[in-house]
Amino acid sequence: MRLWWEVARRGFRRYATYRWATVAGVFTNSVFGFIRAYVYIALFAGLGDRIGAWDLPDTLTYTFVSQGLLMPLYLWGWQEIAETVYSGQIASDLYRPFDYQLYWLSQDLGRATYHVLMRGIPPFIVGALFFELRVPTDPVTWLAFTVSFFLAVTVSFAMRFMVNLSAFWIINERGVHSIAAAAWTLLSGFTIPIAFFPDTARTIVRTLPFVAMFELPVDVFLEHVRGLEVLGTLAIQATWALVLLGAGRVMLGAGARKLVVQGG
Amino acid sequence: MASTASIYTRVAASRIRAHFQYRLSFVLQVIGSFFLSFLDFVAILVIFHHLPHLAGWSLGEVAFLYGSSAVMFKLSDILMTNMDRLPVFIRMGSFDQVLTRPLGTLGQVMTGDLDIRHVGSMTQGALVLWIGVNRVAIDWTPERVIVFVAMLIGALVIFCSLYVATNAVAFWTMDAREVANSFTYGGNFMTQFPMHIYGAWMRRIFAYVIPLGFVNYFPSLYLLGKTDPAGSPPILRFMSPAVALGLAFIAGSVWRSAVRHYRSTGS
Amino acid sequence: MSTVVELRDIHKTFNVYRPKAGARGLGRVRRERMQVRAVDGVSFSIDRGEMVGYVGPNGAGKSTTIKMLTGILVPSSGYVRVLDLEPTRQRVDLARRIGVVFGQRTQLWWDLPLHDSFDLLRHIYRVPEERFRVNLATFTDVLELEAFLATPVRQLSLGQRMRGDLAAALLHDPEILFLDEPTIGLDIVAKARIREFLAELNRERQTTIVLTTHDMDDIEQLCKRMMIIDHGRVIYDGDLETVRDRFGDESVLIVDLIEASPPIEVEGARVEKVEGPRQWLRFRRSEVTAASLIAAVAAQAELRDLTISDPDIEDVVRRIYIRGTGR
Repeated sequence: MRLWWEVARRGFRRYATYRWATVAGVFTNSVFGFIRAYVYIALFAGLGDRIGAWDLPDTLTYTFVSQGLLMPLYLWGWQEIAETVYSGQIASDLYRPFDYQLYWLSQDLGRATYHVLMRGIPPFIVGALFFELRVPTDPVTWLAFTVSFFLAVTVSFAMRFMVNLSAFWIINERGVHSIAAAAWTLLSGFTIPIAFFPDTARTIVRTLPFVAMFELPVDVFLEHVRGLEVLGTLAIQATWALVLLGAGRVMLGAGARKLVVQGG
Repeated sequence: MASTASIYTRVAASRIRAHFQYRLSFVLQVIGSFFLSFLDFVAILVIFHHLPHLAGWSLGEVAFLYGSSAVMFKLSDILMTNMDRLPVFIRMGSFDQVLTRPLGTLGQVMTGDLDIRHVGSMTQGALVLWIGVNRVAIDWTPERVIVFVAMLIGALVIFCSLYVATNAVAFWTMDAREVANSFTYGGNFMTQFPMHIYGAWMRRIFAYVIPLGFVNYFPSLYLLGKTDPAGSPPILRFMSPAVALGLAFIAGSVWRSAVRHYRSTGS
Repeated sequence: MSTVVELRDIHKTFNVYRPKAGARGLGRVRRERMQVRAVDGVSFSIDRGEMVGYVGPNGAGKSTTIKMLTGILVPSSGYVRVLDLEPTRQRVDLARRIGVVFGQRTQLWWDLPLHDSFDLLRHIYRVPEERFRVNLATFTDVLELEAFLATPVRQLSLGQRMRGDLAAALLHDPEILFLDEPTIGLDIVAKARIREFLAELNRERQTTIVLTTHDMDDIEQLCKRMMIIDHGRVIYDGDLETVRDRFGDESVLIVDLIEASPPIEVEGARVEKVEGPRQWLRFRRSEVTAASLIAAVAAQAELRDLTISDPDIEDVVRRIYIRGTGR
């Protein structure tokens, strides 16, 4: 508890000039968190104890963890790369002497760190003040969650990277992006835990990469996976990250070739 | 008065026509948003997979809430397209332009753009509402029809008023704008569910401060023949129109005050 | 009613917030509030049919004054009446009777063809159909808009757009036309065309014209009366000739000689500076024309190149101040 306070405080001080925008964002995140929390309270009131491994404190914790992860994972509205494709700037960007994808990945990881501190932790704290949340005490869990978080961001980045690159072939990247965003918002476990899905649907959705963004990190945080299982979860995330980054590189190659052929 | 309305209609019509310029893209986006907005409803379906009644409300009844809120919210989204862009509008100096024309400022900003692509998700809302209406047995007496129509119109006015009042903040500061989303989009989200599930303090806020309860919940108690376990006074079920008007008046005052501020401090 | 614009002791003060350097509290950036007096006690009146130039350096308070006259800004204090209406309270009534053109922004709709913009404005200003037709035809002809009436405004060049904006501002026969830097960014030909149009408008229709600019040529070609504003105050209100005579008709002829020479001696000019083969000669245009000066210089030395530098408004203002404080 003390650890977060120190980190949060230092973060706030450094970015003090944006304080109102941050406060506004945290407020919005919290409001949505509250609404969702009460829906789940009503759900469990009618249901009794558990859905699978999840009880009410689990679900409430998930609610505010997912609200906190919203900005770091940046599901919606990131078009920076697409814009460079449309403006033609990507042609010169690709000639820079460093790996294009890794460059954007590192930028994104930095951004995610800023966001998790400024927009991720505060809503969780607000939720913790009003509801009974389950905060892990085991430092191993925290370590695993941190790793899981960064893997989730990587997976999210890899997908956004590819969607942005669709700009090479599609005029309305925004349209594609909103379809993708809507899909992965639901299928990642943000809108509602995948664990609540009916059996068949759940099995299918868990084979998709999207769960690596919300559901799996939350599983780690809630300690629904323990011991070696945690390593298994992290491994799944890591695998998806690598696969999607790889796919992204293939797409980048195809796009770059198209540039050369068309002259930009 | 009539001619002012017709002027606004003309300007609005020309903005709508401008969106039709790229016909194929327009159609695709409308269809796309229609299907995408169903994803929103999936969460509710998943919830009802686990139990037949949520806080005493059936799926049909929740669909009724969801649909009535969604369809009117999306319509307000269309009308308030330009409100969202107020900061950019102001920064580009376009608001000065608005002040040099012989028309009201709010009307000009509103008719400045109308993104009717939202009609796709609006249709989805209407569809869910229709499904809800069919699943619940409402005894459609003339009184109920009136209350239903008043509920929908009131919902539109409440959402539009919230849009105006919260986005007017852009005249004072560009930073806190995201707060507006928690009232508008948050308001839509929150009205998808029966209001008595929320904590007592939230319920009181949604009844008496930010009157989202009047968007659909209170009138629905009457229409669906249900009781409020939180024990709210029955009169509230018929107060939608009054509340909506009151909120519209407040929103208008906030807007006027915002414009006054702009005119004394410049951009 | 012959006075159409009247300002008495108008003030406009802005609060500007600047972050205080180095002061950082617990997550709070201290800001200091500074008061900027954009307009600091301005009074004048304008009669119907006048064409007035309102000049000053950037930041002098020109745009702020225009904004107060047109109802965009509210004065901090003072009395303002335009066409007997108070711009603050009677904005809509006033808007019907005036036209406003901003040099850097357009009032046309970006993605609509020019003609559609005009049509919308016709309805917004409630121009009777016949009157609209006549005006449109006239302006299309005089401003040569025919070629691009059907083009979306965003595809127009700056000059074309400015012509479109002028027509748009006049479709409803305003009694006063306010222009804020109308010729900024235009090439010489475009500028000339705009100026010609405005002069004729003032002549034919008696439209009162108030224009702000920091281009002295605008004033020279158009306005008999000019007001110079600097640091929020009107430091001169009169005609151009007087300003010229007293302050502004000096130019500098910069000559590049084949080889460095001692300062050239010519009648009517004074060598201000010498740098190697380059010499700066200051002269008064009312006393000697540039052409005759060049001839005289060429008669004395071999020229490689030359330039004439005209007094800009900053020079003129500086001189007025010098004169003023010298008194």
